[in-house]
Amino acid sequence: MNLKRMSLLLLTLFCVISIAVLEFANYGSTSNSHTIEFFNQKPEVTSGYQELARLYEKTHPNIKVKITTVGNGSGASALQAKFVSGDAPDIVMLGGLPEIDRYHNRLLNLDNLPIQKKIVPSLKSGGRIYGHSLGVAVDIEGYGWAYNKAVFKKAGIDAGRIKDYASFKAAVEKLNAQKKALGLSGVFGFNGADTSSITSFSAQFLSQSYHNNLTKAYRSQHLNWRYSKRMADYVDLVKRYNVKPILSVRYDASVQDLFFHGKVAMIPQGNWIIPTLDEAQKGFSAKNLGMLPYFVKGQGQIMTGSSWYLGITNEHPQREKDAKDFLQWLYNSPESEKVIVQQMRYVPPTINFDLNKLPDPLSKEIYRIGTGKHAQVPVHKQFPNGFNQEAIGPNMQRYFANKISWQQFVQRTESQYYQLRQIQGGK
Amino acid sequence: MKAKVVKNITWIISILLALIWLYPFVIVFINSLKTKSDLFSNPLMLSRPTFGNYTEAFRSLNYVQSFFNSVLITVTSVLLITLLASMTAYALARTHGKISSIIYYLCAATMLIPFQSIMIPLISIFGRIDFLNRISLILMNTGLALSLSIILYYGAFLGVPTSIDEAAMIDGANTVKAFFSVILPSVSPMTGTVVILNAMKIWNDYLLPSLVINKDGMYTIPLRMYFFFGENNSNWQLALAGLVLAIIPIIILFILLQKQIMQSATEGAIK
Amino acid sequence: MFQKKYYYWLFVLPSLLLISIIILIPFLIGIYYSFTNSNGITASWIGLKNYFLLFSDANFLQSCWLTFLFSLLSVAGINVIALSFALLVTRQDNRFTKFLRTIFFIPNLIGGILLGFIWQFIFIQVFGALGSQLHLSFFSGWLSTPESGLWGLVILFWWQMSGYIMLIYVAFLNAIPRSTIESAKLDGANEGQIFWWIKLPQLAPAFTISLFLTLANSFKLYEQNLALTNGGPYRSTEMIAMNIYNTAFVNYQQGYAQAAGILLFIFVALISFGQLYFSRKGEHQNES
Repeated sequence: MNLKRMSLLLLTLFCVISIAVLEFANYGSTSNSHTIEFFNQKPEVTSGYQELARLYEKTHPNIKVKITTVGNGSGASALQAKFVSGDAPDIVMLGGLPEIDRYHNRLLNLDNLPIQKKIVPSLKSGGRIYGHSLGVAVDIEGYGWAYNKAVFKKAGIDAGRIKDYASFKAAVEKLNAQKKALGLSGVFGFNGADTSSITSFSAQFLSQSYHNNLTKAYRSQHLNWRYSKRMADYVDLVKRYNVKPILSVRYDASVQDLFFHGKVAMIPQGNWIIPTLDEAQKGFSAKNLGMLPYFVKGQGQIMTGSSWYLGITNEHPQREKDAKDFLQWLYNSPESEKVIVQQMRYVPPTINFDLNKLPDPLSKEIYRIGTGKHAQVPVHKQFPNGFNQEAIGPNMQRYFANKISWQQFVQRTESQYYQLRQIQGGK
Repeated sequence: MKAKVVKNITWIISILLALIWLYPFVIVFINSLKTKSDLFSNPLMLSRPTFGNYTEAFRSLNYVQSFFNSVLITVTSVLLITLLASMTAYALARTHGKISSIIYYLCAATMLIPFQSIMIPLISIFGRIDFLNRISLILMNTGLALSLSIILYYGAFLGVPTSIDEAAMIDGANTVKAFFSVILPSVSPMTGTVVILNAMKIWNDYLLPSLVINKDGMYTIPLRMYFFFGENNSNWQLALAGLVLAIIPIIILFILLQKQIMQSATEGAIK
Repeated sequence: MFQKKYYYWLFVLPSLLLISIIILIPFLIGIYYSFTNSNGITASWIGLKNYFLLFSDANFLQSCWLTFLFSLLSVAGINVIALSFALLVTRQDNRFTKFLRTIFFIPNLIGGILLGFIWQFIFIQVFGALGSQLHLSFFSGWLSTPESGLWGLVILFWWQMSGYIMLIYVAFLNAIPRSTIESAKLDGANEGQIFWWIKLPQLAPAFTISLFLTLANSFKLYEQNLALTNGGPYRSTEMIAMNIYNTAFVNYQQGYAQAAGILLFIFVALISFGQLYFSRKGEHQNES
């Protein structure tokens, strides 16, 4: 046997053995030991969750917590593949009722989880389906118009006096008049390139009629267009005073460049931009970040809700207790709280949280509103799969680009919504 | 005189075109050495180079592991393809019966089927039997590549005189042994082509692995690259460093095997 | 060698089995799927409805039209660039021209996802900076309009494929005997005449090969599309392959997507038969 053939044989052997070992080792490892797998769909906070896992392992030496992160829109399909291949994680981050419903018979009933009593009431329905709680809210996200305080100040605008649509519009026009002096590329930095921002924006107008009943929003076969007139007002305002072309503005540039450098006064985002801004300049958000609501009905108010819910799968009964203990720790311990609040910059979804522990005024405001009596939860996470990137997003972009009229926008979006609901409901 | 001017002009044009062609790589490399704020303020010039992005990209790409997975999946698939395709093609080339020609035309026909026409049922079948992992990915890679490889080998074996077969058999070897010790080595240029064509395709593939592989730790380099661009958070400076890290192994391999690779690419198309 | 049936099947069966499991059976099941309203979990028979719906689905038709347009621009551009490159690098045979070939070929080695991200960076960041520094509106807003999105994809594909197609032209150019060109030169033919009357006719088969190679590749294009534009803005750059993927794995309209997949198969099959027909015809002409 010559050397060449020998090495080829060795190579083959090596490949076959490593594949076999790797594949079968995987089956063994996850089912025996006390390793909890946590499926994360938010790539931007991966390091936070890894830190939490490390802390937990330190105080619970016999438990391992493995964080799996899949994001960038691939989370949902990766999760489906995991369930299908019998390799379900123990704790899953689920985005809204469509996803929770898809896996409802593989998720544990969390009605009696002690932390449920502490969760803010308005956030509960987002994890409930078929009369049971299958998911726990991850945080409180608040969003409206994030505005740059320095720009407002220089323009002589007092945000506290903006109390209705008319005064908001007046402020926008005032900003626009001083565009040159303020060095603005536009009043708004609406990132028209991203369908996900368009969808969350639209929820500012499509949520009110469900009165925080997200299950009802999820069951609904039609969108509620009661406030479409006001929506059109805002869209036209954006269309007129935005950085142009609207469709070329992308999320990261809108936050890290336009907003951060004061090249625009407002962007349609929420408190999730805080870590990025503070990473660029320490203390930026405490000093410079404010938030204005949309004025849709009556007095406007920042929308608050949770985009993600944590569920526990029923696939590994031997680890259910471990998973529950971990969740309990995640929401209750001072160590986890520190990471969640100060590093990940979440606003906690639990009642009776000490406001002084929150590191910046915006987080405090969001907590106050989110736990208040008039909290308004957005419904965009209950839209059908694909509605964001295949229907409402492209339709709004077409409207921005003057390809369709407002009426066509409403008609098309409505009919696609109905169609997707029908298909995904199995009809 | 005129000839010299023409020569100089073509020389300048060539250099210019080559520079344009390489420019995307250059700009990616330059910007991978910048901090986030430098990158946003001016992506055209090089300023204050730093290698910090590389360490972070290396870590977030999980580079060692993804690289290992890519190598493992590519090498195993290619070995299997070469083995099965050469054997089948040889049997077809040496028996001119009805069955052989049916099989040959079957191979040619399956080459017409684009992946998008079978991906939905393929994934759903393998999903239903709980078999979506690296092993099934290798089998799928093989199944999808076999037809073309068989046809390439078939042509090569037709060029091998049957006298070689007979000589090998007279020495007392059985069919299997004769095939591996005498006949397959006699078409090794074609083996090179089949290996290179399939290896490039499998190494770079994204769509199929994205549907089949679903576990952290199994991801290949292209998959990792895609996950890298976080939903609301594309860090260009890291992504660019990641791009360079992903491209480097391919370029190294190309420098080593330049002639063979370019030859195989041509052969794969013409034959 | 294969007097014993046993050996024959030993050599043939494994491949046959794999091809059947991975391609044939899914293909047949796929045909069935295309007559159902499968959403990945439940499915019932709805006959030809999916196909009828497809022909009135504005997004699908737009994808087909875009794919057609893209193929046209790609084929034209790639062949012109590749032929020019090929002529440039075959003028002489030295280290410099070999080096040029290598450089032109390199983009072809890189996977679609990586290519898409490289060009996304160029079109958005680099072009953006150029636009604001030179005050040229040509450079701003790339990938944010349907036209620039399509051109972005086309430019990417030119960059990727031209070097590859160049190699095919080079192979055919090198097959032209030196003596033919030399004697033409002696007869007083200039460069242009040599190209037009001697080289070009010999390149006809190379052109057929390149044409169909480019066509087939552009019909299946997905990864570049995903990483460069992801279909945006407003789904105007969503090519057929991406349309099928999104319908199946984002909207979960799997039966419907499968029907589109079958139509794609029919397109690709027609193109391939076209190739077969034209190259056979070409051969006959050469013989006569």
